[in-house]
Amino acid sequence: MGVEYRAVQWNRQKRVYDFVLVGGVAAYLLAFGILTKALFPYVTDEIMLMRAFGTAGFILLHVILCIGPLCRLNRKFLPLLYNRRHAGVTMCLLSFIHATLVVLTYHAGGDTNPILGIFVSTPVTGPFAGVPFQPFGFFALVILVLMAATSHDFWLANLTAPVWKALHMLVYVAYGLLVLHVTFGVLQSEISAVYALSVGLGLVTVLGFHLTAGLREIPADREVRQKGATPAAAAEFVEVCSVNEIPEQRARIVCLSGERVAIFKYDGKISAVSNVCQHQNGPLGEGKILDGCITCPWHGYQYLPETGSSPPPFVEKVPTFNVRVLNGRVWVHPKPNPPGVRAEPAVILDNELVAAI
Amino acid sequence: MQNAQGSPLCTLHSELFIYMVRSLRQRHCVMMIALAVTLPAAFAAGIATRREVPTYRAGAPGPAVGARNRSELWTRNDLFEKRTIRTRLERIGAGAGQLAVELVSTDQIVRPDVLVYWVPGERKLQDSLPDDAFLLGNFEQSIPGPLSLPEAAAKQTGVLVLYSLADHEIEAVSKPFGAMK
Repeated sequence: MGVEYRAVQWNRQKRVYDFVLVGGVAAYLLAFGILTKALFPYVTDEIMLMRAFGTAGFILLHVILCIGPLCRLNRKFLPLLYNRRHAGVTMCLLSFIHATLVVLTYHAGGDTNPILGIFVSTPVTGPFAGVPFQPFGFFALVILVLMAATSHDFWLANLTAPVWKALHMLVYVAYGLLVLHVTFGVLQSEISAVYALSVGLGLVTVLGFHLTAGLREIPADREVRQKGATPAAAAEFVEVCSVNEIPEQRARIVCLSGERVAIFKYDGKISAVSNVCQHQNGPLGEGKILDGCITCPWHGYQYLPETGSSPPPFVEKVPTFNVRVLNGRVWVHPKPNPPGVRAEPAVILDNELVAAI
Repeated sequence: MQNAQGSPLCTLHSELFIYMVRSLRQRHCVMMIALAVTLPAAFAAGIATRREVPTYRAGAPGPAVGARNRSELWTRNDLFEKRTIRTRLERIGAGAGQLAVELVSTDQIVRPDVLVYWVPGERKLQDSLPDDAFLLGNFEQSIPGPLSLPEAAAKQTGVLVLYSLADHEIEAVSKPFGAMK
């Protein structure tokens, strides 16, 4: 589903995204090969390829991990989020090629089973240095393959977005394993400070962006509480904000009953829906009203603000919330209506804020 | 989970599971904090405790590329019987210096991980390397270079052995030789 009610299949944005992605990876691999031949002529071709694909995958993983927090910090990065799964699958493919080259070069020529060789070939000879680094890479690749295999919307729809997201959160485990794989692998023999600093810089960047974005998210999860005496007209409703605090055609996000609610102002009306898009749990409240529909900023899924339903022929639905407006203040009932159930919007008339039913 | 009035959240909770993502955000937060603590520590420990990478020093096995004051003692093409390998013995360094050997194969030896060993004496080797075999380094066919011989090679005869580490097999054994042929 897109802004123009088209299913998100192949479109221009996806093609451009993939072209830049594949072109960037190809350019990196080519540059890596040329520089290796020029600067390190004694490095054999298989070692060069192994390192080219390994570093390409590792760098791409850093880029992928930074996209999420960057989008939280600055909306201009949202286009990078749109097709992030293709970047993830590409990264998995690069890692798989790296692993295949490693197994063929180092483990396929002996008597030991090549996969078993990954676990028995690195001697443990010291407290830290000599740590068998290859199993770290092996288990990271298992996670990446699992994620790539379930990256399609088929799995997203069948597993449900929260389960799918929980599964794909394993990418952080994979990242941790890969940092250990690099630290106790190649960085033990490549002692140039440039390599250690590069990996350290990548680590600081990924962690720094995530922690910064996480800190900015904390206030949004603070529960809105009932204040003072409850007006009769707003019994059981919770006062959340002023009408003027909601930008036109956009939303203000508040936390009610443990989840975020997006309160939209549009065409002189106020409506509230769950902040969680049914597609990939994107933040609907960070989207805007386009063509009369709430549009998710991540992939363009759309919902009618009054019903929380996608316009026909699409079937996605999100829960709605009953809304009232009193003296310029917005009140929301914390109990959600079932997904797709109409909740009458509060109407704003002649600078007077009148509750609609 | 409670609502604002302290009563349990609506009965739709289970149906609304797919719209409940705050727990995921909290798990995400815990994971990032755990990574922020453990990964920099592991990375720092890994870098701080890495061992010195061995570099060339006199008497140690390995290529003697870049060594100065090289002087050829002799060159032979018949040192290996089964293979056509040009063998050049050099003296490296000032004074008595150290012996080094350079092997240039005109045949392409298609064997994985071929290593060069020096074995003292005039023994006949067949299947396995003796315990006193001295590793000289990799057998580089594309970029051959001098391999340092041990000090003992200056005083006694010995043989060169090409050994495939991956196949655990001896590929070729030279005739006995000394510093004076």
